[in-house]
Amino acid sequence: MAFRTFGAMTDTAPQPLYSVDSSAFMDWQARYYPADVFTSILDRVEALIAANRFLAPALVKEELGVVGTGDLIAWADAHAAIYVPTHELLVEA
Amino acid sequence: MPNSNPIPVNPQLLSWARQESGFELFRVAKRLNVKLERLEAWEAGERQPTLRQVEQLAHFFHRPLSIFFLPRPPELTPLAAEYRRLPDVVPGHESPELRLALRQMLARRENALNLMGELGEPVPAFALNARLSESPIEVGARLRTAVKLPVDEQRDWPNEWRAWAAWRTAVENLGVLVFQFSKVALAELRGVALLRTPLPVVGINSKEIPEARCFTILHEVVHLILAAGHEELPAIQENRSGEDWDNVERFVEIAASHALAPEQALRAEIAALGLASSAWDIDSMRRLARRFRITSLAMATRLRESGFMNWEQYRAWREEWDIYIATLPKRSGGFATPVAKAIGRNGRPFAQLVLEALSANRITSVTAARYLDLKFEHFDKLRAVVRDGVSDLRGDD
Repeated sequence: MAFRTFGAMTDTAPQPLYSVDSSAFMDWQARYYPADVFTSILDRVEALIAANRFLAPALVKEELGVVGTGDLIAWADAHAAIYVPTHELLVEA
Repeated sequence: MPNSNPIPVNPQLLSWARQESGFELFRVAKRLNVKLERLEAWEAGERQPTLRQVEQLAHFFHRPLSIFFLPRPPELTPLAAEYRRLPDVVPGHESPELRLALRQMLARRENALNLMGELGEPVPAFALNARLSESPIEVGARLRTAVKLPVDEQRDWPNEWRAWAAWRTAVENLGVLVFQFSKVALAELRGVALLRTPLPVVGINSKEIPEARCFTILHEVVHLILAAGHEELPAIQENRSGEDWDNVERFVEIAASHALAPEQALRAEIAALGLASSAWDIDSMRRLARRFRITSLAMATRLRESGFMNWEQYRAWREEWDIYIATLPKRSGGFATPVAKAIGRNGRPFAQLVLEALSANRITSVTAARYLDLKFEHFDKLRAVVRDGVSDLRGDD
């Protein structure tokens, strides 16, 4: 899935972007690596978000609202900037 | 392109999705708070909705957003090719609520078959069949034997919820998926049989009180039995006259009521309660019905079948009963937990399949939660309930 471009290209190899689906969020926070126990994963994801390298389609947020745990939904709400609006995806489709 | 800009969707898909969901234009216009003419213009391709409006349509129709971007409408089997003939439903004119319930039950059955395949589990066979030339009493007796529920056990059920749970489990053990739905009006439908093999489905309207569901589930199973005997076809193909169909329904009613209250047990109970020469007033009927955990109305019908009441007595009792019922306060539905609701809706066998597939990593947690329409945070509780076999028995959705 293609996403928007961030910043100008440099001489160094581009850093990978992470496009995350609902299952990845669920496996991470709800199933295998709860954020209150595996804090280093949380820190690394926060760092990726700060670098605009951690993204998800807006529909993922909607899906998490339906199936997710309370903590995950709260986390997802607190990181609204990571969601790529559906109309942007449709333009690129 | 912000959400408020028009979006190029296929107008054919807009019309198809609405009609497939059973909605009239005015209901959709009202829901989206747009003028009817605007909606008509969308479907005619003269104007285009915004993305926000297409998202609202997807929610309202319970369809994925992506469906509106298909090149042409999918070709689907008519729903009336799936369910048995229903007395108050005209094929193709099901309410939106019923259409959604049918789609959800069909999807659940497909998912169950897929999960069984993934897990290498055998698909249970539904082995009962009958012909209309047989005695409905004998068919009822055969069904009663097949469900393996001793009358002594039936008499010991402490309440109607336990009775409903026991009948449901017994029917599930016959190789039938039993689902419940909650949004369909009782006037449209109490129960339905989906005539698929293997793994046929019985759907029960959870607006029914539990003792009424006990009758409805057996009624639907008898329809499955007749379909397995090539005596019934799906609604869209069923061409019998009204009178002929009434005879089929009569057969089903007798068979179901004899399965619910076998003749010998009924006679023994009437004698034990000292009702052999009863005039069958409201109170005596309720006492007897309670022993079998069925409704008084079902018991009255049953007594008529066995000659304990004649038609005249039955009509008089029914008149008295209708007056009595009108005086009763509406029964409270009580509170059911999300897990109890999920089990009530999906049935324990399907919930167990989903949990097994999740444990075996055959499906994701998102898929599991979607299949059961249950937030993942409730899954630990669900596991415990499925493992221990104990739950809030209400399970209404």
